[in-house]
Amino acid sequence: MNARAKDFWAGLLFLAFGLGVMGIARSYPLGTATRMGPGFFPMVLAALLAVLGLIIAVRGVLAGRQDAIGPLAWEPLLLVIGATVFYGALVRDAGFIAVTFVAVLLAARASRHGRIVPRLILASGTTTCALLIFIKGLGLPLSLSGAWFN
Amino acid sequence: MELLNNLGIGFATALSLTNILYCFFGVLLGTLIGVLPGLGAVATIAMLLPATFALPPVSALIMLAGIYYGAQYGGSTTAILVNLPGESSSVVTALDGYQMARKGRAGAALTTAAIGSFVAGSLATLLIAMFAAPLAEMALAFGPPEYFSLMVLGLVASVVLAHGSLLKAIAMILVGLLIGLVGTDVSSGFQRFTFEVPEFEEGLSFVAVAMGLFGLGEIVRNLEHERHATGVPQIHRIGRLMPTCEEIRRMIAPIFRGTTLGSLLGILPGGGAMLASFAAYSLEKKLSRTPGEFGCGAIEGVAGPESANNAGAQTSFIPMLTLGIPSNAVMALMAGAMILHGIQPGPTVMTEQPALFWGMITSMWIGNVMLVILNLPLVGLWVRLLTVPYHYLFPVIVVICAIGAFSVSNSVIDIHLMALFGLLGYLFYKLDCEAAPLLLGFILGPMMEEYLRRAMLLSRGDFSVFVTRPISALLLALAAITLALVVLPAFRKTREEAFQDED
Repeated sequence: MNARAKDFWAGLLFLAFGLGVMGIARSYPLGTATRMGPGFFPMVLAALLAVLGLIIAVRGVLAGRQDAIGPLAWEPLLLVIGATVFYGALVRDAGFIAVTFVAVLLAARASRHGRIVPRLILASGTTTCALLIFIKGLGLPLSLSGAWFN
Repeated sequence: MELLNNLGIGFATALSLTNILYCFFGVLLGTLIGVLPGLGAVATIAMLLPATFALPPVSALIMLAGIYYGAQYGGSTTAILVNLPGESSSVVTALDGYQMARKGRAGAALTTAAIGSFVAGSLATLLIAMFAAPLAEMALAFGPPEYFSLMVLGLVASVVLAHGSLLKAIAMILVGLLIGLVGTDVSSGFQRFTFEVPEFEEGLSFVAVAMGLFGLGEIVRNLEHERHATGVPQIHRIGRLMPTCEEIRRMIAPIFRGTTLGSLLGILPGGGAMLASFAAYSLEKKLSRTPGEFGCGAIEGVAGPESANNAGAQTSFIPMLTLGIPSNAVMALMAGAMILHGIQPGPTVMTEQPALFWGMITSMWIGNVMLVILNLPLVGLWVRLLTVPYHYLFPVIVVICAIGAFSVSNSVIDIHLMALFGLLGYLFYKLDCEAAPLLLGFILGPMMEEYLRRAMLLSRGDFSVFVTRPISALLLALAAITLALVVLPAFRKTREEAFQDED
């Protein structure tokens, strides 16, 4: 399989990451070879990564034949990641029960299959089980109803 | 007799009622989740890691190891029954196992897999017990330069034996090493890459990173392929579990060959279960007098790879337990779990915590016994689990991951961190970048820096210390040779062919 367009973007990503890290690590003391400062190891690694990224990207361009990355699955991506971010953002304010229930429903929308009634049952079941296992059983310090509803 | 003595310590630990119970839970949960569609061993372990934090370290590690081979075994069950390998290592099992199922011999194939796994698991456990002590003793003589070189060799070998582009895999290791450096620098107390988030001062949460990359990333990946899927899989009747005499005769040699090959390949960094099963399959095919039968339900094609992947799964613990170097993503997770429990993986574990070390090893054998007992009679239950539709499964996993990420240090930031790594995991998949090397780098990053610093301090800043000390030089030379091999056209071709079946 030829994966050149993929190589180009992957290389670019590595290059950007390497340069970004170098930019931040610039302000860290490098130290000497005998007594390495906190900036030494990251600087060397980041420089290596940037060079490697450049090589990967250039090879990707030179190879001629292009193999497209293919369409991103935007909807599942946004919904699955979104449900997670939603969970983290609101679990303190809206409470464990509400957030768990809604997050299951939100994530479930990422699939084309499944109907609303089974999904509601699934969300209730998950919330109940999670409540029993994580809050009652393992004693996670999360408020059930959150700051908003108290 | 030291061996018996050590095994005695191990059994005393592993056979305590609580530890047997946790081993049982681990194997049960592992099989359960391994059978469920779309969840591999790495994702399973990452997801269940937080659940083991409350346990004492020995019990936690015993349970995690149980989850590992349980998940591995569950993957083989789905490979045989519905041609859906739950694990990359059971891809080859599906080739002949599923054909046997189509011929009504699913029961015999499952039994073969169980017997093969059990024999391999038992022998490999014995091997670990025999070789762990001398290896760890050797490692105790290592100084910082040797450790640094050993880590270089481990990382290099892990990408050479993995599949995909070499350059990208090395880049992923570097990314992992860098991400591992986030937090307070041990030597200077300097804050690095923390972006003034207090939660990042102790480093990024290993659980959040692993669950994001392997849990969430995998879910999005599965959903992307959802439209090509063909609904509920057709399950063939299991039939008689007992193999015929003829079948038993045919499986014996492949089981032992698979065990030997798997044990050897499991020790190599980057090897582990997957490489072992592929190699065993091609070996059996080469040795067979009727190679044409392979792919049409040859029992040797189930017995060999299944023994090999279980043996490889077990022996891949050796480098992690004795040298502190994880050789694949699963071992990286195990090493991470040990660190979270305050145990630094490495040669000192065996001398300082003999009960933990030997308890874990003997529990592997106990776990293998449990696998056989659990799996054959309960196979009907596992089959029913196969029919759980993925679209009702994954929302639950998303929520459990979120709760799990939070639970490690009760911090909401970790949930967002996991979301970020989920996004990255999917992106890496789209760009054909393997995530496993990143995880290895992430675990090894801080250790590597420490050893580099100490080595430099000892040599007064002279970098030649890595090549003037004989063991270190040998390790680096091995790393260079491995790299050179991949660049050579002949080897490159074989490597590509070896991984071709998988795609």
